[in-house]
Amino acid sequence: MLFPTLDFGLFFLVAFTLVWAVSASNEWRKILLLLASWVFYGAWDWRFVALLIASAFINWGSARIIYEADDRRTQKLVAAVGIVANLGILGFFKYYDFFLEQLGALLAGWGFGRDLPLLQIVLPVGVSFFTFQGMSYLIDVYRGRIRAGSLLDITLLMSFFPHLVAGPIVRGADLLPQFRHTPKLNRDMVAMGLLLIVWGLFKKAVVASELSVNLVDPVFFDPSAHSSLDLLLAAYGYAVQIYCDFSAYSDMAVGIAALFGYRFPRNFDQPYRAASMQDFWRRWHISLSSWLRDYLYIGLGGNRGGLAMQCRNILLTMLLGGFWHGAKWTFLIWGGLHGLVQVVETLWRRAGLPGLPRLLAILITFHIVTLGWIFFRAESFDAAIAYLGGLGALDWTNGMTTPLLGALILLGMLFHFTPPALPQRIALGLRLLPAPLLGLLVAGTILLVDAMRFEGVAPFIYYQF
Amino acid sequence: MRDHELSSPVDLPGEPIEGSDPLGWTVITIGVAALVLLFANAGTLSAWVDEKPPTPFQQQVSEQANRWTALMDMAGFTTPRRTLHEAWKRAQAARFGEEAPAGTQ
Repeated sequence: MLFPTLDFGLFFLVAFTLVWAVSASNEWRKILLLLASWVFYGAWDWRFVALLIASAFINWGSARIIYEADDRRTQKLVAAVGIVANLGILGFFKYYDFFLEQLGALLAGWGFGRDLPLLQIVLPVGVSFFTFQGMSYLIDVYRGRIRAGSLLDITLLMSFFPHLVAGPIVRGADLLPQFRHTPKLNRDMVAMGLLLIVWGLFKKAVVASELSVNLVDPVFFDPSAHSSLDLLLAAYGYAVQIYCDFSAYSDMAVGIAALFGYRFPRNFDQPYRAASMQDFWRRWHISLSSWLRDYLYIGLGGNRGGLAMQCRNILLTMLLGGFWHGAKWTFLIWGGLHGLVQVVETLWRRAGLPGLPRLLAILITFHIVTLGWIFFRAESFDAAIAYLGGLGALDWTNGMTTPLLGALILLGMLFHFTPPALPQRIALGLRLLPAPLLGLLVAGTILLVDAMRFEGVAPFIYYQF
Repeated sequence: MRDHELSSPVDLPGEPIEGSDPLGWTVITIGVAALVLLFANAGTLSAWVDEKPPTPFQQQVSEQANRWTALMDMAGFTTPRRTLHEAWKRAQAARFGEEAPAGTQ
Protein backbone atom coordinates (compact mmCIF):
# COMPACT_ATOMS: atom_id res chain seq x y z
CA MET A 1 0.00 0.00 0.00
CA LEU A 2 1.73 3.17 -1.22
CA PHE A 3 1.07 6.56 0.37
CA PRO A 4 0.14 8.39 -2.86
CA THR A 5 -2.68 6.00 -3.80
CA LEU A 6 -6.41 5.90 -3.24
CA ASP A 7 -5.99 2.57 -1.40
CA PHE A 8 -3.94 4.34 1.22
CA GLY A 9 -6.22 7.38 1.25
CA LEU A 10 -9.23 5.22 2.12
CA PHE A 11 -7.19 3.18 4.63
CA PHE A 12 -6.11 6.42 6.30
CA LEU A 13 -9.67 7.79 6.52
CA VAL A 14 -10.89 4.59 8.22
CA ALA A 15 -7.90 4.39 10.59
CA PHE A 16 -8.10 8.10 11.47
CA THR A 17 -11.82 7.86 12.26
CA LEU A 18 -11.57 4.69 14.34
CA VAL A 19 -8.45 5.70 16.28
CA TRP A 20 -9.79 9.10 17.32
CA ALA A 21 -13.21 7.56 18.07
CA VAL A 22 -11.70 5.31 20.76
CA SER A 23 -9.21 7.84 22.10
CA ALA A 24 -10.89 7.95 25.50
CA SER A 25 -8.82 4.82 26.15
CA ASN A 26 -5.15 5.13 25.26
CA GLU A 27 -4.75 1.33 25.31
CA TRP A 28 -7.56 0.76 22.81
CA ARG A 29 -6.18 3.54 20.67
CA LYS A 30 -2.77 1.85 20.54
CA ILE A 31 -4.33 -1.56 19.87
CA LEU A 32 -6.25 -0.11 16.92
CA LEU A 33 -3.13 1.61 15.61
CA LEU A 34 -1.27 -1.68 15.88
CA LEU A 35 -3.98 -3.59 14.00
CA ALA A 36 -4.08 -0.87 11.34
CA SER A 37 -0.29 -1.11 11.02
CA TRP A 38 -0.46 -4.85 10.49
CA VAL A 39 -3.17 -4.42 7.84
CA PHE A 40 -0.93 -1.83 6.15
CA TYR A 41 2.11 -4.12 6.25
CA GLY A 42 0.11 -7.23 5.39
CA ALA A 43 -1.03 -5.58 2.16
CA TRP A 44 2.44 -6.53 0.81
CA ASP A 45 2.72 -9.98 2.27
CA TRP A 46 0.85 -11.30 5.29
CA ARG A 47 3.65 -13.74 6.15
CA PHE A 48 5.99 -10.92 7.07
CA VAL A 49 3.59 -9.58 9.71
CA ALA A 50 4.66 -12.64 11.72
CA LEU A 51 8.31 -11.62 11.25
CA LEU A 52 7.50 -8.11 12.48
CA ILE A 53 5.76 -9.51 15.56
CA ALA A 54 8.61 -11.95 16.23
CA SER A 55 11.14 -9.14 15.96
CA ALA A 56 9.12 -7.02 18.40
CA PHE A 57 8.91 -9.97 20.84
CA ILE A 58 12.69 -10.46 20.73
CA ASN A 59 13.37 -6.80 21.48
CA TRP A 60 10.66 -6.48 24.13
CA GLY A 61 11.81 -9.67 25.91
CA SER A 62 15.53 -8.86 25.75
CA ALA A 63 15.00 -5.30 26.97
CA ARG A 64 12.76 -6.48 29.81
CA ILE A 65 15.44 -8.95 31.03
CA ILE A 66 18.15 -6.27 30.76
CA TYR A 67 16.01 -3.78 32.67
CA GLU A 68 15.22 -6.17 35.48
CA ALA A 69 18.66 -7.84 35.76
CA ASP A 70 20.82 -6.78 38.69
CA ASP A 71 24.27 -7.57 37.36
CA ARG A 72 25.98 -5.96 34.41
CA ARG A 73 27.24 -9.29 33.06
CA THR A 74 23.72 -10.64 32.49
CA GLN A 75 22.67 -7.34 30.95
CA LYS A 76 25.63 -7.42 28.57
CA LEU A 77 25.00 -11.03 27.60
CA VAL A 78 21.29 -10.47 26.89
CA ALA A 79 22.01 -7.26 24.96
CA ALA A 80 24.53 -9.16 22.84
CA VAL A 81 22.07 -12.00 22.20
CA GLY A 82 19.33 -9.50 21.29
CA ILE A 83 21.58 -7.61 18.88
CA VAL A 84 22.76 -10.84 17.28
CA ALA A 85 19.12 -11.92 16.86
CA ASN A 86 18.28 -8.60 15.13
CA LEU A 87 21.33 -8.85 12.92
CA GLY A 88 20.45 -12.49 12.25
CA ILE A 89 17.04 -11.48 10.88
CA LEU A 90 18.59 -8.75 8.75
CA GLY A 91 21.47 -10.96 7.65
CA PHE A 92 19.28 -13.87 6.67
CA PHE A 93 16.75 -11.93 4.63
CA LYS A 94 19.08 -9.36 3.14
CA TYR A 95 22.56 -10.78 2.89
CA TYR A 96 22.38 -14.61 2.91
CA ASP A 97 22.25 -15.08 -0.86
CA PHE A 98 24.82 -12.32 -1.45
CA PHE A 99 27.41 -13.87 0.86
CA LEU A 100 26.78 -17.33 -0.56
CA GLU A 101 27.25 -15.99 -4.10
CA GLN A 102 30.55 -14.37 -3.07
CA LEU A 103 31.63 -17.62 -1.40
CA GLY A 104 30.70 -19.55 -4.55
CA ALA A 105 32.77 -17.16 -6.70
CA LEU A 106 35.71 -17.46 -4.28
CA LEU A 107 35.56 -21.27 -4.26
CA ALA A 108 35.28 -21.36 -8.04
CA GLY A 109 38.36 -19.13 -8.24
CA TRP A 110 40.28 -21.64 -6.13
CA GLY A 111 39.07 -24.52 -8.28
CA PHE A 112 36.47 -25.80 -5.80
CA GLY A 113 33.32 -24.74 -7.69
CA ARG A 114 30.18 -25.98 -5.90
CA ASP A 115 26.41 -25.48 -6.26
CA LEU A 116 25.68 -23.59 -3.05
CA PRO A 117 22.14 -23.59 -1.60
CA LEU A 118 20.89 -20.15 -2.67
CA LEU A 119 17.42 -19.54 -1.25
CA GLN A 120 16.18 -16.69 -3.50
CA ILE A 121 14.82 -15.06 -0.37
CA VAL A 122 12.09 -12.44 -0.75
CA LEU A 123 13.16 -9.30 1.11
CA PRO A 124 10.53 -8.14 3.62
CA VAL A 125 9.71 -4.48 2.97
CA GLY A 126 11.30 -2.19 5.54
CA VAL A 127 13.30 -4.92 7.31
CA SER A 128 16.38 -2.67 7.57
CA PHE A 129 14.33 0.06 9.18
CA PHE A 130 12.53 -1.98 11.81
CA THR A 131 15.59 -4.02 12.82
CA PHE A 132 17.65 -0.82 13.30
CA GLN A 133 14.79 0.60 15.31
CA GLY A 134 14.63 -2.51 17.49
CA MET A 135 18.39 -2.48 18.04
CA SER A 136 18.45 1.19 19.05
CA TYR A 137 15.71 0.50 21.61
CA LEU A 138 17.64 -2.45 23.02
CA ILE A 139 20.92 -0.54 23.24
CA ASP A 140 19.22 2.49 24.83
CA VAL A 141 17.72 0.26 27.54
CA TYR A 142 21.12 -1.39 28.05
CA ARG A 143 22.81 2.01 28.34
CA GLY A 144 20.17 3.09 30.85
CA ARG A 145 18.88 5.92 28.66
CA ILE A 146 15.28 4.71 28.63
CA ARG A 147 13.26 2.25 30.66
CA ALA A 148 11.87 -0.96 29.18
CA GLY A 149 8.45 -0.53 27.57
CA SER A 150 5.34 -2.71 27.58
CA LEU A 151 4.82 -5.37 24.92
CA LEU A 152 2.07 -3.27 23.30
CA ASP A 153 4.25 -0.16 23.17
CA ILE A 154 7.29 -1.96 21.74
CA THR A 155 5.23 -3.79 19.12
CA LEU A 156 3.61 -0.50 18.13
CA LEU A 157 6.98 1.31 18.16
CA MET A 158 8.28 -1.15 15.58
CA SER A 159 5.06 -1.55 13.58
CA PHE A 160 3.58 1.98 13.50
CA PHE A 161 2.60 2.27 9.86
CA PRO A 162 3.74 5.82 8.94
CA HIS A 163 7.43 4.99 9.47
CA LEU A 164 7.30 1.20 9.09
CA VAL A 165 8.60 0.63 5.59
CA ALA A 166 10.94 3.54 4.84
CA GLY A 167 11.57 5.47 8.04
CA PRO A 168 12.39 7.86 9.52
CA ILE A 169 14.05 5.52 12.02
CA VAL A 170 12.11 6.68 15.07
CA ARG A 171 13.84 5.69 18.29
CA GLY A 172 12.19 4.39 21.42
CA ALA A 173 13.46 7.46 23.26
CA ASP A 174 11.40 9.60 20.86
CA LEU A 175 8.19 7.63 20.56
CA LEU A 176 7.74 5.58 23.75
CA PRO A 177 7.16 8.62 25.98
CA GLN A 178 4.51 9.77 23.49
CA PHE A 179 2.75 6.39 23.73
CA ARG A 180 2.26 6.71 27.48
CA HIS A 181 -0.64 9.16 27.20
CA THR A 182 -3.38 9.84 24.66
CA PRO A 183 -1.85 12.52 22.46
CA LYS A 184 -3.51 15.90 22.11
CA LEU A 185 -3.87 17.48 18.71
CA ASN A 186 -3.25 21.15 18.16
CA ARG A 187 -3.70 23.22 15.05
CA ASP A 188 0.05 23.70 14.64
CA MET A 189 0.83 20.06 14.12
CA VAL A 190 -2.24 19.47 11.96
CA ALA A 191 -1.49 22.45 9.70
CA MET A 192 2.16 21.41 9.33
CA GLY A 193 1.17 17.75 8.95
CA LEU A 194 -1.23 18.50 6.09
CA LEU A 195 1.33 20.74 4.44
CA LEU A 196 3.96 18.00 4.64
CA ILE A 197 1.55 15.44 3.18
CA VAL A 198 0.59 17.50 0.12
CA TRP A 199 4.18 18.68 -0.34
CA GLY A 200 5.39 15.08 -0.19
CA LEU A 201 2.69 14.07 -2.70
CA PHE A 202 3.92 16.72 -5.11
CA LYS A 203 7.58 15.76 -4.78
CA LYS A 204 6.89 12.04 -5.21
CA ALA A 205 4.00 11.85 -7.66
CA VAL A 206 5.06 14.73 -9.91
CA VAL A 207 8.80 15.46 -9.70
CA ALA A 208 10.28 12.07 -8.79
CA SER A 209 7.92 9.99 -10.95
CA GLU A 210 8.26 12.18 -14.04
CA LEU A 211 12.05 12.24 -13.83
CA SER A 212 12.21 8.53 -13.13
CA VAL A 213 10.00 7.36 -15.97
CA ASN A 214 11.00 9.79 -18.71
CA LEU A 215 14.70 10.36 -18.04
CA VAL A 216 16.53 8.41 -15.34
CA ASP A 217 15.24 4.87 -15.90
CA PRO A 218 15.72 4.79 -19.69
CA VAL A 219 19.22 6.30 -19.48
CA PHE A 220 20.45 4.06 -16.65
CA PHE A 221 18.91 1.03 -18.39
CA ASP A 222 21.26 1.39 -21.35
CA PRO A 223 23.89 4.11 -20.89
CA SER A 224 25.69 3.11 -24.09
CA ALA A 225 22.68 4.22 -26.16
CA HIS A 226 22.81 7.79 -24.83
CA SER A 227 24.94 10.87 -25.29
CA SER A 228 27.17 12.38 -22.61
CA LEU A 229 24.62 15.18 -22.15
CA ASP A 230 21.84 12.66 -21.54
CA LEU A 231 24.04 10.83 -19.05
CA LEU A 232 24.96 14.04 -17.24
CA LEU A 233 21.36 15.26 -17.04
CA ALA A 234 20.14 11.81 -15.97
CA ALA A 235 22.72 11.83 -13.16
CA TYR A 236 21.48 15.26 -12.02
CA GLY A 237 17.93 13.97 -12.57
CA TYR A 238 18.59 11.01 -10.31
CA ALA A 239 20.04 13.29 -7.62
CA VAL A 240 16.78 15.25 -7.69
CA GLN A 241 14.62 12.12 -8.05
CA ILE A 242 16.06 10.29 -5.04
CA TYR A 243 15.80 13.41 -2.90
CA CYS A 244 12.20 14.08 -3.97
CA ASP A 245 11.30 10.40 -3.59
CA PHE A 246 12.83 9.71 -0.20
CA SER A 247 12.19 13.08 1.43
CA ALA A 248 8.59 12.83 0.17
CA TYR A 249 8.13 9.58 2.04
CA SER A 250 9.61 11.10 5.20
CA ASP A 251 7.48 14.24 4.87
CA MET A 252 4.32 12.20 4.44
CA ALA A 253 5.28 9.89 7.32
CA VAL A 254 5.85 12.88 9.61
CA GLY A 255 2.59 14.48 8.43
CA ILE A 256 0.48 11.33 8.82
CA ALA A 257 1.90 10.66 12.30
CA ALA A 258 1.08 14.27 13.24
CA LEU A 259 -2.58 13.73 12.27
CA PHE A 260 -2.63 10.87 14.80
CA GLY A 261 -1.06 13.21 17.36
CA TYR A 262 2.55 11.92 17.29
CA ARG A 263 5.75 13.79 16.56
CA PHE A 264 8.38 12.21 14.33
CA PRO A 265 11.91 13.59 13.90
CA ARG A 266 13.08 15.66 10.96
CA ASN A 267 14.79 13.44 8.36
CA PHE A 268 15.95 15.93 5.70
CA ASP A 269 17.26 19.47 5.80
CA GLN A 270 17.97 20.71 2.25
CA PRO A 271 20.87 18.25 1.75
CA TYR A 272 22.18 19.66 -1.55
CA ARG A 273 23.10 22.94 0.08
CA ALA A 274 25.69 21.06 2.15
CA ALA A 275 29.18 22.54 1.95
CA SER A 276 30.99 19.32 2.91
CA MET A 277 30.26 15.62 3.04
CA GLN A 278 29.99 15.76 6.83
CA ASP A 279 27.49 18.59 6.41
CA PHE A 280 25.63 16.48 3.84
CA TRP A 281 25.16 13.70 6.39
CA ARG A 282 23.77 16.18 8.89
CA ARG A 283 21.08 16.98 6.31
CA TRP A 284 20.40 13.68 4.47
CA HIS A 285 18.50 10.79 6.09
CA ILE A 286 19.25 12.35 9.48
CA SER A 287 17.64 9.51 11.42
CA LEU A 288 20.06 7.00 9.81
CA SER A 289 23.16 9.19 10.06
CA SER A 290 22.48 9.95 13.74
CA TRP A 291 21.83 6.22 14.30
CA LEU A 292 25.16 5.33 12.68
CA ARG A 293 26.89 8.03 14.73
CA ASP A 294 25.39 7.04 18.09
CA TYR A 295 25.38 3.26 17.81
CA LEU A 296 28.21 2.47 15.39
CA TYR A 297 30.77 5.28 15.05
CA ILE A 298 30.88 6.03 18.79
CA GLY A 299 30.73 2.29 19.52
CA LEU A 300 33.84 1.82 17.40
CA GLY A 301 35.62 4.50 19.44
CA GLY A 302 34.57 7.64 17.56
CA ASN A 303 37.31 10.26 17.56
CA ARG A 304 39.04 8.77 20.59
CA GLY A 305 42.35 7.00 20.03
CA GLY A 306 43.99 9.42 17.64
CA LEU A 307 43.61 10.56 14.06
CA ALA A 308 44.27 7.19 12.43
CA MET A 309 41.57 5.50 14.54
CA GLN A 310 39.11 8.31 13.82
CA CYS A 311 39.70 7.93 10.07
CA ARG A 312 39.29 4.15 10.34
CA ASN A 313 36.03 4.59 12.27
CA ILE A 314 34.65 7.06 9.73
CA LEU A 315 35.47 4.71 6.87
CA LEU A 316 34.03 1.64 8.60
CA THR A 317 30.85 3.50 9.57
CA MET A 318 30.23 4.73 6.05
CA LEU A 319 31.06 1.36 4.48
CA LEU A 320 28.58 -0.36 6.79
CA GLY A 321 26.09 2.47 6.17
CA GLY A 322 26.43 1.75 2.45
CA PHE A 323 25.99 -1.97 3.00
CA TRP A 324 22.86 -1.31 5.09
CA HIS A 325 21.23 -0.14 1.86
CA GLY A 326 21.61 -3.51 0.19
CA ALA A 327 23.72 -6.53 -0.58
CA LYS A 328 25.51 -5.12 -3.61
CA TRP A 329 29.08 -4.02 -4.23
CA THR A 330 27.80 -0.74 -5.65
CA PHE A 331 26.37 0.23 -2.24
CA LEU A 332 29.71 -0.56 -0.60
CA ILE A 333 31.50 1.63 -3.14
CA TRP A 334 28.94 4.39 -2.53
CA GLY A 335 29.51 4.18 1.24
CA GLY A 336 33.27 3.93 0.74
CA LEU A 337 33.29 7.07 -1.43
CA HIS A 338 31.34 9.02 1.21
CA GLY A 339 33.67 7.72 3.93
CA LEU A 340 36.83 8.49 1.96
CA VAL A 341 35.77 12.08 1.28
CA GLN A 342 34.95 12.57 4.96
CA VAL A 343 38.40 11.25 5.87
CA VAL A 344 39.96 13.75 3.44
CA GLU A 345 37.87 16.53 5.02
CA THR A 346 39.00 15.49 8.50
CA LEU A 347 42.66 15.46 7.46
CA TRP A 348 42.21 18.80 5.69
CA ARG A 349 40.84 20.39 8.86
CA ARG A 350 43.52 18.82 11.06
CA ALA A 351 46.23 20.16 8.74
CA GLY A 352 44.80 23.63 9.29
CA LEU A 353 44.26 24.21 5.56
CA PRO A 354 41.90 27.07 4.66
CA GLY A 355 38.27 26.23 3.79
CA LEU A 356 36.96 26.71 0.26
CA PRO A 357 34.55 29.57 -0.58
CA ARG A 358 31.06 28.38 0.42
CA LEU A 359 29.54 28.35 -3.07
CA LEU A 360 32.48 26.36 -4.47
CA ALA A 361 32.30 23.94 -1.52
CA ILE A 362 28.56 23.41 -2.17
CA LEU A 363 29.20 22.77 -5.87
CA ILE A 364 32.01 20.29 -5.19
CA THR A 365 30.01 18.47 -2.50
CA PHE A 366 26.97 18.21 -4.78
CA HIS A 367 29.04 16.74 -7.59
CA ILE A 368 30.72 14.19 -5.32
CA VAL A 369 27.28 13.21 -4.03
CA THR A 370 26.02 12.91 -7.62
CA LEU A 371 29.02 10.74 -8.52
CA GLY A 372 28.09 8.52 -5.58
CA TRP A 373 24.48 8.34 -6.82
CA ILE A 374 25.70 6.86 -10.12
CA PHE A 375 27.10 3.86 -8.21
CA PHE A 376 24.02 3.79 -5.98
CA ARG A 377 21.64 3.67 -8.96
CA ALA A 378 23.66 1.47 -11.34
CA GLU A 379 22.79 -2.22 -11.58
CA SER A 380 26.43 -3.26 -11.17
CA PHE A 381 29.95 -1.92 -10.82
CA ASP A 382 30.56 -2.49 -14.54
CA ALA A 383 27.40 -0.58 -15.43
CA ALA A 384 28.52 2.36 -13.26
CA ILE A 385 31.95 2.38 -14.92
CA ALA A 386 30.30 2.23 -18.37
CA TYR A 387 28.12 5.18 -17.32
CA LEU A 388 31.19 7.20 -16.28
CA GLY A 389 32.94 6.18 -19.53
CA GLY A 390 29.94 7.49 -21.50
CA LEU A 391 30.17 10.80 -19.63
CA GLY A 392 33.78 11.07 -20.76
CA ALA A 393 32.83 10.60 -24.44
CA LEU A 394 31.93 14.32 -24.60
CA ASP A 395 29.00 13.88 -26.99
CA TRP A 396 26.75 16.84 -26.21
CA THR A 397 23.66 16.04 -28.30
CA ASN A 398 20.34 16.00 -26.47
CA GLY A 399 18.28 12.88 -26.93
CA MET A 400 16.16 12.74 -23.78
CA THR A 401 15.74 16.00 -21.97
CA THR A 402 12.61 18.02 -22.58
CA PRO A 403 11.86 21.53 -21.29
CA LEU A 404 9.62 19.97 -18.62
CA LEU A 405 12.31 17.56 -17.40
CA GLY A 406 14.89 20.35 -17.35
CA ALA A 407 12.48 22.53 -15.36
CA LEU A 408 11.85 19.73 -12.86
CA ILE A 409 15.60 19.22 -12.29
CA LEU A 410 15.99 22.96 -11.68
CA LEU A 411 12.92 22.98 -9.43
CA GLY A 412 14.31 20.07 -7.39
CA MET A 413 17.52 22.04 -6.85
CA LEU A 414 15.60 25.23 -6.12
CA PHE A 415 13.87 23.49 -3.17
CA HIS A 416 17.29 23.47 -1.49
CA PHE A 417 17.82 27.21 -1.69
CA THR A 418 14.51 28.46 -0.33
CA PRO A 419 14.50 29.82 3.25
CA PRO A 420 14.72 26.76 5.55
CA ALA A 421 11.86 28.03 7.72
CA LEU A 422 9.51 28.63 4.76
CA PRO A 423 7.28 25.54 5.31
CA GLN A 424 6.84 26.40 8.97
CA ARG A 425 5.97 30.00 8.10
CA ILE A 426 3.32 28.76 5.65
CA ALA A 427 1.94 26.40 8.33
CA LEU A 428 1.73 29.31 10.78
CA GLY A 429 -0.60 30.97 8.29
CA LEU A 430 -2.60 27.81 7.53
CA ARG A 431 -3.39 27.16 11.19
CA LEU A 432 -5.41 30.40 11.33
CA LEU A 433 -7.73 29.43 8.45
CA PRO A 434 -11.29 28.22 9.00
CA ALA A 435 -11.45 24.43 8.58
CA PRO A 436 -13.65 24.42 5.42
CA LEU A 437 -11.26 26.82 3.67
CA LEU A 438 -8.23 24.74 4.63
CA GLY A 439 -10.08 21.61 3.44
CA LEU A 440 -10.70 23.32 0.07
CA LEU A 441 -7.04 24.27 -0.18
CA VAL A 442 -5.90 20.72 0.60
CA ALA A 443 -8.31 19.25 -1.95
CA GLY A 444 -7.26 21.81 -4.57
CA THR A 445 -3.60 20.93 -4.10
CA ILE A 446 -4.24 17.19 -4.25
CA LEU A 447 -6.29 17.75 -7.42
CA LEU A 448 -3.41 19.70 -8.94
CA VAL A 449 -0.94 16.93 -8.08
CA ASP A 450 -3.30 14.28 -9.43
CA ALA A 451 -3.66 16.15 -12.71
CA MET A 452 0.13 16.30 -13.10
CA ARG A 453 1.11 12.90 -11.83
CA PHE A 454 2.39 10.22 -14.13
CA GLU A 455 -0.10 7.41 -14.72
CA GLY A 456 0.45 5.01 -11.83
CA VAL A 457 2.93 5.54 -9.00
CA ALA A 458 6.17 3.57 -8.71
CA PRO A 459 7.14 2.27 -5.26
CA PHE A 460 9.40 4.52 -3.22
CA ILE A 461 13.12 3.88 -3.85
CA TYR A 462 13.77 3.19 -0.18
CA TYR A 463 11.13 0.42 -0.04
CA GLN A 464 13.82 -1.96 -1.35
CA PHE A 465 16.03 -1.30 1.66
CA MET B 1 27.13 9.73 23.71
CA ARG B 2 25.43 12.93 22.71
CA ASP B 3 21.96 13.55 24.05
CA HIS B 4 19.42 12.68 21.44
CA GLU B 5 16.76 15.33 21.19
CA LEU B 6 13.66 15.04 19.08
CA SER B 7 13.50 17.87 16.58
CA SER B 8 10.22 17.55 14.71
CA PRO B 9 9.13 19.72 11.79
CA VAL B 10 5.58 19.80 13.20
CA ASP B 11 6.76 21.88 16.18
CA LEU B 12 6.14 25.40 14.94
CA PRO B 13 7.91 28.36 16.48
CA GLY B 14 6.00 30.35 19.08
CA GLU B 15 3.00 29.38 21.14
CA PRO B 16 0.79 26.66 19.62
CA ILE B 17 -2.87 27.48 19.01
CA GLU B 18 -4.81 25.05 21.12
CA GLY B 19 -8.24 26.32 19.96
CA SER B 20 -11.51 25.18 21.40
CA ASP B 21 -11.66 21.91 19.49
CA PRO B 22 -8.56 21.09 17.38
CA LEU B 23 -9.85 17.58 16.63
CA GLY B 24 -13.13 18.98 15.30
CA TRP B 25 -11.19 21.50 13.20
CA THR B 26 -9.09 18.65 11.79
CA VAL B 27 -12.09 16.42 11.09
CA ILE B 28 -13.88 19.21 9.20
CA THR B 29 -10.72 19.99 7.20
CA ILE B 30 -10.18 16.37 6.18
CA GLY B 31 -13.91 15.82 5.60
CA VAL B 32 -14.22 18.84 3.29
CA ALA B 33 -11.08 17.81 1.39
CA ALA B 34 -12.41 14.25 0.92
CA LEU B 35 -15.80 15.51 -0.21
CA VAL B 36 -14.36 17.99 -2.71
CA LEU B 37 -12.16 15.24 -4.17
CA LEU B 38 -15.13 12.91 -4.40
CA PHE B 39 -16.81 15.47 -6.66
CA ALA B 40 -13.91 17.04 -8.53
CA ASN B 41 -11.77 13.93 -8.92
CA ALA B 42 -14.50 11.41 -9.66
CA GLY B 43 -12.56 9.94 -12.61
CA THR B 44 -9.77 8.78 -10.29
CA LEU B 45 -12.31 6.97 -8.15
CA SER B 46 -13.82 5.05 -11.07
CA ALA B 47 -10.34 4.28 -12.48
CA TRP B 48 -9.37 2.90 -9.07
CA VAL B 49 -12.46 0.68 -8.91
CA ASP B 50 -11.84 -0.55 -12.47
CA GLU B 51 -8.30 -1.65 -11.50
CA LYS B 52 -9.60 -4.04 -8.82
CA PRO B 53 -9.90 -7.77 -9.60
CA PRO B 54 -13.20 -8.39 -11.37
CA THR B 55 -15.95 -9.88 -9.20
CA PRO B 56 -19.74 -9.42 -9.36
CA PHE B 57 -19.46 -6.91 -6.49
CA GLN B 58 -16.61 -5.04 -8.18
CA GLN B 59 -18.67 -4.79 -11.38
CA GLN B 60 -21.62 -3.35 -9.48
CA VAL B 61 -19.39 -0.79 -7.78
CA SER B 62 -17.69 -0.02 -11.08
CA GLU B 63 -21.04 0.73 -12.74
CA GLN B 64 -22.00 3.04 -9.87
CA ALA B 65 -18.61 4.77 -9.95
CA ASN B 66 -18.81 5.29 -13.71
CA ARG B 67 -22.32 6.67 -13.38
CA TRP B 68 -21.06 9.02 -10.67
CA THR B 69 -18.17 10.15 -12.89
CA ALA B 70 -20.51 10.81 -15.80
CA LEU B 71 -22.76 12.85 -13.52
CA MET B 72 -19.83 14.91 -12.26
CA ASP B 73 -18.56 15.42 -15.81
CA MET B 74 -22.00 16.65 -16.85
CA ALA B 75 -22.15 19.02 -13.89
CA GLY B 76 -18.72 20.40 -14.79
CA PHE B 77 -17.07 19.47 -11.49
CA THR B 78 -14.29 17.50 -13.18
CA THR B 79 -13.46 20.25 -15.68
CA PRO B 80 -10.65 21.88 -13.62
CA ARG B 81 -8.80 18.58 -13.25
CA ARG B 82 -9.24 17.71 -16.93
CA THR B 83 -8.04 21.15 -18.04
CA LEU B 84 -4.99 20.93 -15.80
CA HIS B 85 -4.21 17.42 -17.02
CA GLU B 86 -4.39 18.52 -20.66
CA ALA B 87 -2.04 21.43 -19.93
CA TRP B 88 0.36 19.02 -18.21
CA LYS B 89 0.27 16.65 -21.20
CA ARG B 90 1.14 19.57 -23.50
CA ALA B 91 4.07 20.44 -21.24
CA GLN B 92 5.23 16.81 -21.38
CA ALA B 93 5.07 16.80 -25.19
CA ALA B 94 7.02 20.07 -25.61
CA ARG B 95 10.57 19.78 -26.99
CA PHE B 96 13.53 22.11 -27.36
CA GLY B 97 13.40 23.72 -30.82
CA GLU B 98 12.92 21.27 -33.66
CA GLU B 99 13.67 18.10 -31.71
CA ALA B 100 11.34 15.23 -32.48
CA PRO B 101 9.12 13.98 -29.66
CA ALA B 102 10.62 11.06 -27.73
CA GLY B 103 9.88 7.70 -29.34
CA THR B 104 9.57 9.08 -32.87
CA GLN B 105 13.28 9.38 -33.66
